[in-house]
Amino acid sequence: MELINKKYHHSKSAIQEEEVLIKKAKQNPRDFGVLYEKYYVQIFRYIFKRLEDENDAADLTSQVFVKAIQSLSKYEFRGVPFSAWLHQIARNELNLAFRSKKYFRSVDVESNQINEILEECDYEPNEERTELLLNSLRLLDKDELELLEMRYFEKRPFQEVSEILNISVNNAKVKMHRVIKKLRGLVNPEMD
Amino acid sequence: MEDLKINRDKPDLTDEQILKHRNFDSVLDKAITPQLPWYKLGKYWAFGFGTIVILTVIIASLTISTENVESKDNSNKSLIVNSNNLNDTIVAKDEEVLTDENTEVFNMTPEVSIVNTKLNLVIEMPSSVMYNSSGEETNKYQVNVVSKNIPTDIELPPFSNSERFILKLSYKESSVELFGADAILVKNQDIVLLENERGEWKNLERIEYDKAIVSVDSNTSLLAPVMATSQIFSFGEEYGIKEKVKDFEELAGYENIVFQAKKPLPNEWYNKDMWEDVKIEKITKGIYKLELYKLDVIKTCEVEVVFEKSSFEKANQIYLSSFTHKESTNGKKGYFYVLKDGGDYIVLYP
Repeated sequence: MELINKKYHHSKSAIQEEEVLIKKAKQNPRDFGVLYEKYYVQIFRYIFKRLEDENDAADLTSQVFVKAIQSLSKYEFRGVPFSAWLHQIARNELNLAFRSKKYFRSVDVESNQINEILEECDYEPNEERTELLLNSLRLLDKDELELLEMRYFEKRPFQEVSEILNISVNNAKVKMHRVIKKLRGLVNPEMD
Repeated sequence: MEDLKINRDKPDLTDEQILKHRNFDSVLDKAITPQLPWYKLGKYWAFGFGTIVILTVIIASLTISTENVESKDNSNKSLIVNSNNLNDTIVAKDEEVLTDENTEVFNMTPEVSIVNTKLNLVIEMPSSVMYNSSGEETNKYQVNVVSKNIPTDIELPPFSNSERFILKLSYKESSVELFGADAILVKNQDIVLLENERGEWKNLERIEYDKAIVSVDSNTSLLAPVMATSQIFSFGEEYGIKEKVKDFEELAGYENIVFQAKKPLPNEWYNKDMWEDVKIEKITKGIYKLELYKLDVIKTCEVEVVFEKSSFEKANQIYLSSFTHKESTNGKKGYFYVLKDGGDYIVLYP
């Protein structure tokens, strides 16, 4: 899979530079503006892929950064990109919004991604299986769907997925394997 | 997943389209300014939805009597409601409610009224429509508590006259919800518990309390209702399915039961006109086998019982009322765990 989120994976020096920015922002929230500019599009896209409406995504993105500023004193630098923490906040805000029925969950899928998943499940892609796979997405629980989304629809590497979900890389791989196995079973046209 | 909308090949937004939504000044303003309820924002006066009246109300004491709960004289104590004590609790006469900066008070149920005599109440009137702090119409509303350990302004609907006041509390960050009048529901028992290298539950947060009136659901024979998320089989009076289902103890009392396949099926299977007969058999609690007959062809599938949106609420009420409750001892110290990300939570050690 092509790594498309090149901005996520920083060099060590870039991470250390970011640490300085974060410390400054802790002293003065106005200095958070640099981090806001840096990560706004990323967080917006993450949210927009899970919400139907552009304006709703903008509102929730705004809320994520509000929470980030308010919680910045509690953030501890642990050698991973700051964006992982922002994504965690975004994830929490989305979950809250879905639980309170303020917004409804959506997922964006491209046709080539569906084919990729079908091939991963050892199926030859066709229209019937595509329909079954799309229906199967509704039978996944929210964690399973999220993992599938991050890996196949957003093309995030396991390192990034593990940092956002706050699990180990191995755990992420095991869970992904289970999701594919589940989908393989669900995409089965014959029930005799 | 309920109401999951799948967008196929939806065009992505360009960076320019996204960047037009940027507004750091607004974000900073919200972050550093305490959130005020809508009625305190000058702009909502202009909408003309009635006069906002702020009252300080002395509430006559009400006798709090709940079955199986020992009453306790809290008249000389302040109830500190904070991140370490997030339990739905009964507020008694002469008891101050103080909150800290990590606690939000929200979702007041309209049936209850406050018992505490020292709370300052802010009552919205005369409209019966409630607004949340974003100015949207809703039956629920919330107040963000921003001050530390001071008496809390709590919004209530006008003229509530129930006997018990239920605080619904959450963390600002993780927003764990404790809901229900007197129960911490055990939900999602299949979650993955993650241990770190020290053997601690790293995705759980330990909550300690030193005063709780908590009841925990005990067993019920009924199946927990689930809302339909995809195509359903709905038989009504046909094929005798409704009668047959009455034999299943776990479905006793439920109405408008429909069935959802465990695996995706071809669309034509759902067409009732196609089948001459349909039989149902129980495989295990919650999983059933449907046999669909046409001439000498039999199609089988595994299904689960679900409810359409219009019937779900009633089914849930039947389910909840089927529980018997046992309650923990009032005043006993204890702890439980909640998921850090605020998702469905579990009670490990109530």
